[in-house]
Amino acid sequence: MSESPAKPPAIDWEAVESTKEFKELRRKRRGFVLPMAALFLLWYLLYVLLADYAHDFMAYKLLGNINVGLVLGLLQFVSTFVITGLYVRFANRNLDPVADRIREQIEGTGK
Amino acid sequence: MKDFLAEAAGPASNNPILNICIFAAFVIITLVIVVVVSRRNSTAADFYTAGHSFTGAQNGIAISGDYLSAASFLGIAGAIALNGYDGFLYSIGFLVAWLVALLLVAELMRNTGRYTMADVLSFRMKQRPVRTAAAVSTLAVTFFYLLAQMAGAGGLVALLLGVTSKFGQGIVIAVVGVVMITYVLVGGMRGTTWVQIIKAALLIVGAAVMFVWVLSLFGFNLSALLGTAASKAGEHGEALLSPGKQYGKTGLTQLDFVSLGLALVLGTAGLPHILMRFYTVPNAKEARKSVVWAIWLIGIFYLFTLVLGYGAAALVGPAAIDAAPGKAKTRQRRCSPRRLVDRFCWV
Repeated sequence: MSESPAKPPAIDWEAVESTKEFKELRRKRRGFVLPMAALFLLWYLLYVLLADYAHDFMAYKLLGNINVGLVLGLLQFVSTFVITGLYVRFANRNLDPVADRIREQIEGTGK
Repeated sequence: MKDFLAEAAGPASNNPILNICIFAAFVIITLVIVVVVSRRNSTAADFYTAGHSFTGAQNGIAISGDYLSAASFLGIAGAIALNGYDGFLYSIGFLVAWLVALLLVAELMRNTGRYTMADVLSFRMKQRPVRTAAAVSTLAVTFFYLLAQMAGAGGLVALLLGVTSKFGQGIVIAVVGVVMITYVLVGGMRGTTWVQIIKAALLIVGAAVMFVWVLSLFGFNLSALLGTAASKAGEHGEALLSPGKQYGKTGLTQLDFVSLGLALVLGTAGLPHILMRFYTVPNAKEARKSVVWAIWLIGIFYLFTLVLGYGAAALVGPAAIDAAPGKAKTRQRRCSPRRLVDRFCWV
């Protein structure tokens, strides 16, 4: 089943690209991915700046030897896992069905 | 008990013959696997992309094996043991970077259906200048990556095989390099993927065992572990627990840290050897699954190294680690798993 990057026979990619369905798919994807990317990058940047310039705040102990810095760092782990889960759920529900439909149309009719 | 451990700060009991035998056994076993697996290679697509035949889970494990290198394991544990929190920051950057790959890169790359990063970049552009740029970038990244890995390998070799002369270390590193080249030439992407899967399993299970072991020495109390680490660090031990020990000294080092943070989070999604791995799966959905598996494995692993790093500070002591002459890689050696295991065996 090995495939080189050869072009499949006679598919008008530009036509597919201009269909409403494809544009809708693209819009949906960007509507999730871009704001989410901005969000996690800002949260990460905030964390970096706090760790860099707010030492006293980060060193403040909350429970025993566990300080704010450690909690924020662990929260970065948590947010990473959560965002991963959210994206997978979004992609499975909203992107995959549309993409599969478009693919069937392309490969089914060969157009 | 911990005083006893502290006094037993002599050189670890070391059996070079045993270590060489274990090392050789691993090399032979993985070479055999590579050769067997390579029999199924027959086309260019097989060699470069394993015929797109790996599942998302297998690929994810391989990616994490690829990503969790000497820098991740030894480097971060050592950095945490010596510089405390500033070392932990590295692992956060290394992990969050995977969201860039998940959201913006992985599936789109897979959908272009090419072999390498250069193919994707030059997809719709002028071939020659873009490919040249991509090749230069790949070589530059790979060169620095190799430097760090080889330094780690040299340090480990000196510790585990008892080879301390520069010449001897050089020979062993050269041998390791030849073995690596053989893996790739013979096995192609299939072979190297299976090697990475095996490595990831061993690494993560080993780190998990050590994680539980270290925590158990402190009654599974993270706060107690941190406290002991801070007290072991001498006068200004508390600095180990909060940011700033390494990067907080001057305004310039603080800017350096912001630059580091950006490099960590944006760099991963551009690593050529990571990007290539997205082609070993049949479609974009499996590429997505690969990244999810990788994120979970890498995230859990960095939680382990947090405890291992502070555990090394608490059990071996930053002074002992720092007292080893030489540069950071020496400190890596001191924090090597072998050393920690030897500590535990005194319990």
